[in-house]
Amino acid sequence: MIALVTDSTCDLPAEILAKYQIEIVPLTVHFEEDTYYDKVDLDSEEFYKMMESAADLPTTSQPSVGLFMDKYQKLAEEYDQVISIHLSSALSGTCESARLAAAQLDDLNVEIIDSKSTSTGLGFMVLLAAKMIKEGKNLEEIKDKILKEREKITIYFTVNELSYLEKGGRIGKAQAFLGSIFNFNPILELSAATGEITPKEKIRGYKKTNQKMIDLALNAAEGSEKVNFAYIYGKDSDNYQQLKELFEADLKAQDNFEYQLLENKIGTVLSSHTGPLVYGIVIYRGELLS
Amino acid sequence: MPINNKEKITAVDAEQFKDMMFTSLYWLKEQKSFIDSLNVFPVPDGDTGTNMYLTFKEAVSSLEDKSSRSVSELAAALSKGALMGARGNSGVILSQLIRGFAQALKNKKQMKVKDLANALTKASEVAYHGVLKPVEGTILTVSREAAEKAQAEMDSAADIIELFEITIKAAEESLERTPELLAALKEAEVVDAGGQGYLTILEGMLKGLKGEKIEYQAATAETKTRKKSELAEDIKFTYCTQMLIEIDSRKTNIDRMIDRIRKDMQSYGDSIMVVGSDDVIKIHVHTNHPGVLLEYGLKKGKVFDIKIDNMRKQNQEKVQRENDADFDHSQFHQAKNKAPAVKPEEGNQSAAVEEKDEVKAAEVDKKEVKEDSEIVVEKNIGIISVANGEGVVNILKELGVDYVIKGGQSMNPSTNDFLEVVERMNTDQIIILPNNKNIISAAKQVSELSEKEIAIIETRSIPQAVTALMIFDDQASPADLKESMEAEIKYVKTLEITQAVKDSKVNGLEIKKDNYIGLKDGDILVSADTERETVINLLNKVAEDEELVTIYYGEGITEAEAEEIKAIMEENFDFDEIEIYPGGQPLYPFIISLE
Repeated sequence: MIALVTDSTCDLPAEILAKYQIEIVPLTVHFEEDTYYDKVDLDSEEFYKMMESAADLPTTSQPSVGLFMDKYQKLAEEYDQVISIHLSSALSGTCESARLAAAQLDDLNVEIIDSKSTSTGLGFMVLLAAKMIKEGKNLEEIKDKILKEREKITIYFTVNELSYLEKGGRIGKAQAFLGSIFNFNPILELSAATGEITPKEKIRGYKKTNQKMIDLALNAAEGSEKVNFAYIYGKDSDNYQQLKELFEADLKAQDNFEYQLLENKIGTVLSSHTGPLVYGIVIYRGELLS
Repeated sequence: MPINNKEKITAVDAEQFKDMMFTSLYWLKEQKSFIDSLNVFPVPDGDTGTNMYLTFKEAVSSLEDKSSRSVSELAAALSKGALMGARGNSGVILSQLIRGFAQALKNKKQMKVKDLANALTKASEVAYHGVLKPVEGTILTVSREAAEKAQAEMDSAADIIELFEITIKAAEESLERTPELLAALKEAEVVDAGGQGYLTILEGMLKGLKGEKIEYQAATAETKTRKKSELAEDIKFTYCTQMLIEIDSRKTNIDRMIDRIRKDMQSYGDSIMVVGSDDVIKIHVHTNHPGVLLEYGLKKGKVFDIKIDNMRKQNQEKVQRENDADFDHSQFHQAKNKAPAVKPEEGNQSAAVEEKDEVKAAEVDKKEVKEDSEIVVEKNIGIISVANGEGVVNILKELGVDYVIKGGQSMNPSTNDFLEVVERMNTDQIIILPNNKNIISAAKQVSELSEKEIAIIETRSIPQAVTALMIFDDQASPADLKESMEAEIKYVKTLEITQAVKDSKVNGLEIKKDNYIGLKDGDILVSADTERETVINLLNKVAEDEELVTIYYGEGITEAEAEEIKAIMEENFDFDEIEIYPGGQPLYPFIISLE
């Protein structure tokens, strides 16, 4: 039997996690003196309120090696194989913690996969693995498939302030579009090619930003017959609602591909690095076995 | 000064050539405010006279310490100087004229009659060649028709003086015809300012040749007085003397009287300005004998509003003040020379002060440029832009501009200003965003002078620069950026609100001085008594389905006033977002972009 492990940044809703018996290892958020487990200890609305009032931005850290060992050891009681899929190693040391933990467990076969993505981009790969496990595919098949499919994931997102990404070191300083006096919206890309966040466009005006993001998403979907999309968002906003409205109209108007559309709220770890007002679209140019 | 018209001059030697140029420069300086007044548009603009003068000044200054015995060498230096100093479109064309002029004089130790005709011809040819789309009814036409006449008459002319006189006459006639060739000139009832500038330079050269000499210092003194550490000893004439004279206009032809006074003033001092209208003449002169001057005024009419300042004393105080903001006397007055055709009234005062600040700002910036230190660019491509106003400068810097040259509408940076910044940058790839139609050509000349890979993005306004910078890609080449950025700026409309500097008729509008005028992408479309009305009228004309409005409010406008304009827009139009930024730009209360 194969067990499936991911981390808290995959942003899949609880019912799906339960349905497929997906195990979560949480990252941690440090807020002033306190430490919280992502999606365990802290409700996101509560978290945004804290972010607004706190003097310093929260910091985050990867799950400890010990946390992974505990999880794997517990699973070893029931399973002999584990697939552990995690957020991009360019953004976090989570994969590394998992690897170190796995190396210390001789009697368990743990396959660690770098999704080169996060949020629902990671979530899509986890879902794919879950379904393949259910279909009885072996570890090798699943791993090969995911390494192939992860190339088909792109995330476009916008943040209302770049300082979060910059301070968290998750975006190269030289590449960061600076800007504090002058108001523009960046569109950023997390591409599976590098697993890094890169600035894609600078746009003035929210409607134009939303339209551009939609154009990019539809462009990325092009050439694929079946596409999985997901909205991801932090704190709800008018701008985010406008994006959904515009995108759904465009999706209905097209007949190039079949699609599924999810909506997932991002957790505290990711929003520590993007700011609460982040939103975007995840595109997976592939089919999730259903 | 000895004036000897009878002696034939068949060849001009290096010494005389130098005289001619310096005299011409001084004459151009005298006339530059008049040339500025020929400005077709009532917008506070990069004035033609000022730009030609500053360009020519840079050219002639390069002769200062040249002790060459050959005309050819001097002409070459002149040409280089003009190229470096070129400011504004008119300055760039002038630099091309001078370049052609110098090319024809290559290897000539002296300039003979035929050489002059050939040089004038070559000048015109090179200038035509240098302009992408030559327009007739401009300085180009005047230069061509003058040269044609010179060619036709060079064999029959008795000497250079005669050929000059014939040429000048042809230039005058050509100039008179410019309104027939250019509708805008006709509507505004003026002749072409650039053509007038060229004519003035030719006149000045003739004056120099005839020995109507004004000392070299007069021409270059200004450069000296601009230096901060100026010593009082450098001031030749101590008293700045001004007075108004009331004339009985029924008995006297005022224009002739002005000419007369101007001529007489030459023997009293320098920095002479004589202007007048209706029945008042204003005299401004730097002299050592103000008393004699007052007596002179009394002979002409009733003297009033007399003002005498001791400049030496002012200067000493200034030097003591050290790094305080300069009160630079000569500049102050030079600025006042503007607007000659209007009554010498209070009204001009504010404009003059504004001008002074402009000049000063440019000077300060120039000092910065002269510092020679390396400009460290942390990208592959360096970005240079031009702007005025703290807010606007900061926005450009935030959007990635590495160096903002101070300038704009009424202060056009020269080719050299650009070149210095280009050379100081530690990158070999550079793009320049000039943000003004009158600055583009001076920037373009930089590519000829520098080895670096440079592209001029032809932005004509701040909003265009902002739009272009949004799509800056450090991995692209300057040439690719030029293409993509210039395509992008077509999607933004620039609206500008300013005040008319004079009465005029433009695009079928009757505009009175001080009216507010509204421009869209450089075209004057509306005129009204208030800023608010102008904004509404302009938006009614040009707003389509744009979503985002950005308001940059200028110097002298409060945030509350800008908010008011925003409220009006929200009430009357259907834009999605309206943003307000303090731009701090002079002369334009509001710059607004629609996209």
